[in-house]
Amino acid sequence: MKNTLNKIMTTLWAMALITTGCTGFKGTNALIDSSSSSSIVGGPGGSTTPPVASSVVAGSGANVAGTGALSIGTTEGLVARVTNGLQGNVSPLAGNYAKSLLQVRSNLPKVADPTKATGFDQAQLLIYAACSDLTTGTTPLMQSKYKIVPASSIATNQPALIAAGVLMLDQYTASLASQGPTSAQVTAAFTTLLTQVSATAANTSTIAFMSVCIAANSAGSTLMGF
Amino acid sequence: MLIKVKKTWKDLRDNKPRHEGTDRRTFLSRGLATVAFGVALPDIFLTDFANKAQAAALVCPPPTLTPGAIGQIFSNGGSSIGSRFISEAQAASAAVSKTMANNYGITGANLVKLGPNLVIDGTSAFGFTLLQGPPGYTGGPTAWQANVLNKLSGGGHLGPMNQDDGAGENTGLVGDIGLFKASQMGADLKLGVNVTLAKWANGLSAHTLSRSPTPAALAATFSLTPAATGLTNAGALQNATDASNALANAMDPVLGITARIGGSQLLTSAGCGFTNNVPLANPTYGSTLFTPTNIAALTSKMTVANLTTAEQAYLAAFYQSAMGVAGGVIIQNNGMDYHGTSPANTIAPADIAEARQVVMFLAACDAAQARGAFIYTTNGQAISSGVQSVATTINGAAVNVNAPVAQDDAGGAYNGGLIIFYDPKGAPPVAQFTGTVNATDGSVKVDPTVGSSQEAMAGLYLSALKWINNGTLPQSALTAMNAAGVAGATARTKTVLI
Repeated sequence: MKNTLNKIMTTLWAMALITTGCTGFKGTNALIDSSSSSSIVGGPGGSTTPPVASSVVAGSGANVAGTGALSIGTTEGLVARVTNGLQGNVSPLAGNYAKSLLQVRSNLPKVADPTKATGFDQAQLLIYAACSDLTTGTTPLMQSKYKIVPASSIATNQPALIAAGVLMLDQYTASLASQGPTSAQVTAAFTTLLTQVSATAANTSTIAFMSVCIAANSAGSTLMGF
Repeated sequence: MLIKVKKTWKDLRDNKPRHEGTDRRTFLSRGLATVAFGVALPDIFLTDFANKAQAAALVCPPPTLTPGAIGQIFSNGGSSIGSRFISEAQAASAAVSKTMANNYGITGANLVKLGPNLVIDGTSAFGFTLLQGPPGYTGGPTAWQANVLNKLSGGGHLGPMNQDDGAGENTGLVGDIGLFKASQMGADLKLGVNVTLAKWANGLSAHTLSRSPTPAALAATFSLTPAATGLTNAGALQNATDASNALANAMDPVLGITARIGGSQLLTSAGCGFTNNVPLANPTYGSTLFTPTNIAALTSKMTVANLTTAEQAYLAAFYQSAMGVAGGVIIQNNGMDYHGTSPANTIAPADIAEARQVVMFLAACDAAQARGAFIYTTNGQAISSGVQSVATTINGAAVNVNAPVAQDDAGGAYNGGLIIFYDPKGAPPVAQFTGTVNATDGSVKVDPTVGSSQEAMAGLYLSALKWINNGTLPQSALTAMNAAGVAGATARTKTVLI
């Protein structure tokens, strides 16, 4: 009964949106990477012939906008994504970020097809190094840019830590992390993370920040594709 | 005549039905319905998002240790593989046919049977090196042959890799194990591999290192840069990994990740890949694993310090595969298209180097007292005109070995994918060779049921996995291979060699 009601309501909602000219979420289109080699056909002025399902291959790009195959960032694209995720506060040419890139570059995903790529774990190692560059110095960037005071407790820094994670994830999702329909779930994920990290008494706010930074940027750069 | 009719406002009214009177009860019911739509509908909509956002947690294979080493050499270019391992049938023919022995680059008169279907020329650069074992092996070569080489068997697919050298290097003659064999790392070690993998091997987790690895390079690959102290630890890194998966799940309904081809696999491959990084938060993790001079099981068996740094890296890598820490270890040796080159300066050193890699594999299995399966493939074959005695040094001792006088490419005449099995208990499986051999010149023809190099590669790896897995073919490997269009039930009856 509830499922039937859900379907009816969803249909009515969609009809209302169409009637009023709303097009719903444009997030997916907005996230199409300019470096993608996919060609998007369909839509105004394009071919109206629907693709044969078997012709849509993972990673080869979508033949129909909004559906089809998912691609991932590779090597330089991945590095650029991480740098953007951290809002340019770190550079792949300096610090731990540069050192780590030298080690892991050859192991980063090389192909855009997620069913063929390897090296996802290396992407996280690179992100770890990039995040660590935000923790160095007398007044580290984690404090000046993200308002997390290293000397304060995780509990005291919690609002800022969550805000930092959401802000980083926003860079990958056109602000859908903070403003989208699942923003509550995003916040909950960071809250759970901080609860777990703070359960170990020896963990500092720096460790908590690193955890938030790794989580947000690993998800954003590697788990979401484009 | 125009007749004007005076119209009043009454005439100009719209002739529409008058609004029906609405009683209070009807008004209230309509209003409540509107409110219900306005409040409940978004709630239902968002609940649907929320339910999808809180999808089932990622389930990764547990980091279990499955003892048993799997290794592969891809000899890129096409060496004189007749001087590697041959079957008992090939040995019987080579012993009486000088033509065949010359073609293979062996003497034919010094054949040594190591085990069922596993024969070498004991005086060849490759065979002699194998017989000596590692430096300082307790009891010397005699004990090495009794304790290790006596516990081997061989098999292979003759004929399907019939490309000429260079032409076949990207035809998928390199495989991978990934999670087909459960290991602590959940990943293979690929040393110098840059050619196209077998289709079913694409996407399997692996760490790739340079062609001449060192223990330090291996250790660095398995450690965090910068060091973890003060930045993270195993628990915090696991928490962060879990959170990244939760964030991806949260964004999935919005971005449609799993609705797109490859999306679900991305979440699994990447999410589980992140989990494999957790041990790296231990600053000594990499060096503990890959510094063989610090591994008592190895130093008690041989003089590890007398190995080259590359050999030490191979030994450590194979040992961790045997112990179940790593998946498979795959080595690509370039420049093996050595026909027309000097037997003394090029061919013998190349053959000795490959034999040493096999020695490291077997020494690691022996130290771990674990089963092993070693695959040898090449994308061609250099036909020889006989052998040439070459002076060289093996384990510090000056010796003379017989190197193939490799003349030209003849991958179409003889080629094959070989596999050797090791059992520490001395009961290796009896494996078969497929294909037919010309008893006069040693040329081979592929078995029609095997057919392609892709079927042969799948069969070799399934044979290795079956041996390590105590007789069971891993379903994950079958699924991946079937999806790649190989290793169906009919093909497996011929391509799985044990």
